[in-house]
Amino acid sequence: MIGLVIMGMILVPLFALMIASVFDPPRSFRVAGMFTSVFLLQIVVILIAFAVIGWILGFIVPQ
Amino acid sequence: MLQRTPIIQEEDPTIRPLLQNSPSFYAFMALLLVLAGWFGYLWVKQLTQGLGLTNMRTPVGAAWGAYITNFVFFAGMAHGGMAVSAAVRLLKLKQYKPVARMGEVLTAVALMMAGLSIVIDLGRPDRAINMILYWPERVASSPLSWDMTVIVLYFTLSTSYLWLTMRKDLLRHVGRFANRGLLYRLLLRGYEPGQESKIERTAWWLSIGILILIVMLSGGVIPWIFGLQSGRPGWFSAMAGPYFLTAALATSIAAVIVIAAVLRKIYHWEAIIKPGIFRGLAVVLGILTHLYIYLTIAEQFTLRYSSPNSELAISEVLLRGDYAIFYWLTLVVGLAIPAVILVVQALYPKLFSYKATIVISVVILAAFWVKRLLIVVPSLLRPLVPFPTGTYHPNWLEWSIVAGIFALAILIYTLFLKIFPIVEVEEE
Repeated sequence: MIGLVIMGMILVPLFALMIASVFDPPRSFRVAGMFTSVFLLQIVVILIAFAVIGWILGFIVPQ
Repeated sequence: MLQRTPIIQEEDPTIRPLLQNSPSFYAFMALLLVLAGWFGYLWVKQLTQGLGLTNMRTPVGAAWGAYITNFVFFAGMAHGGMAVSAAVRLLKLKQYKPVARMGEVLTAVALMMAGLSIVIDLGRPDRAINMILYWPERVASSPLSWDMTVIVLYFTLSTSYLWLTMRKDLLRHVGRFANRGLLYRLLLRGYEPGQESKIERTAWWLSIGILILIVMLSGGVIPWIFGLQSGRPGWFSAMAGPYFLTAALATSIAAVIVIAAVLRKIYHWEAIIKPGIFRGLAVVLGILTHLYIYLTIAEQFTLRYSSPNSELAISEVLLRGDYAIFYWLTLVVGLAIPAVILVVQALYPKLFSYKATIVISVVILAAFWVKRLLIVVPSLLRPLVPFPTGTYHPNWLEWSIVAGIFALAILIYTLFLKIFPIVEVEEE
């Protein structure tokens, strides 16, 4: 639960600012949508990279 | 050091880094690659033989040392770079736009190096994935989980922001560089000419979010790793937040000054990066360094007057003990004298010296690295719990790995410089 609160503290202001940018003239969702997609895509890539790097390091670090 | 390359006449001076590769550039890259390779070799050696190869020890000695110092230094450096960029957009400081992207790239590279420094400090980095797998239950009690969360979010936010604001420059050059065309076109997917004004407005709104995150990360999460540890005299303080934030902003502004000066000299960008930019950044750097000195003195007063003996012991180690020579050199030569010179320059503009400002920025950068070491180490050597006291100085392996991380940072920054336009062109 506290994790969600912390994520909320970080992401809600960002989300609110993105919504504000959508309604700021010239009104358009396209740029904000692309930015959000790239932002989320990078998070997914980093999480996968964590797993892959950990797996590779597993071959180097004596088990 | 890179040498000046001859001026090639072209229509757009901002793309000189994409066009020119002198022999000295290749020699410089070779040197960086050798250092990075040496770093890689030593890290594998440390992974296979353990952290016992370093001088970090527990319970006698310091369990954190040069690597965590490096982490705090790079994490701090990451913030001001984006802060410069965000302030340029938010306050419409068009004069500073030529250095905005330099700051954005500095942020991305510094965050990578901060993350790497933490991973290198881990005895079992192959288990770092557990931080993610057990994140929901750990985040309630572990500041390290917050740390990882905010660093990942800040990195993705800053690189997404860099991508968003860089695309109009990529469009301008996509047809010119055949060998980069595929990469440029990939990054330009979905871009429509005429979107510039919307991108500018979106970046303006994002700048607010970035500034909030900077305060949360550099003035909140990272200081809390130290400030929440009640068993560590010297760290356990509510002042850790402003203390770290001030150091972070000062470090990164000094770094932006140095990077801008180096690129200005190599690529003959005197007409693009004007002296006014350095004057302005130097004023901010002078004020921030003064503020940091004030916080340092305030911290020492708290440690020395009516404080528990354990707090006094930390002050003694710094002011008169093993680390006194480093402490006083850092405080006086590294911070106080440069800060006074910067503020005198600000008050008497006729005294402004471009070269002195660059030298001062380099000195401040070095001083802040040592200052981070003096924050991390002494409190570990004099804990509240009845451990025997010890001492710590980084050994050759730790210095080599730290040097390798710096070389890697410069290497990645230089590669970016050679692939993408580093100067944002201002539309008239």
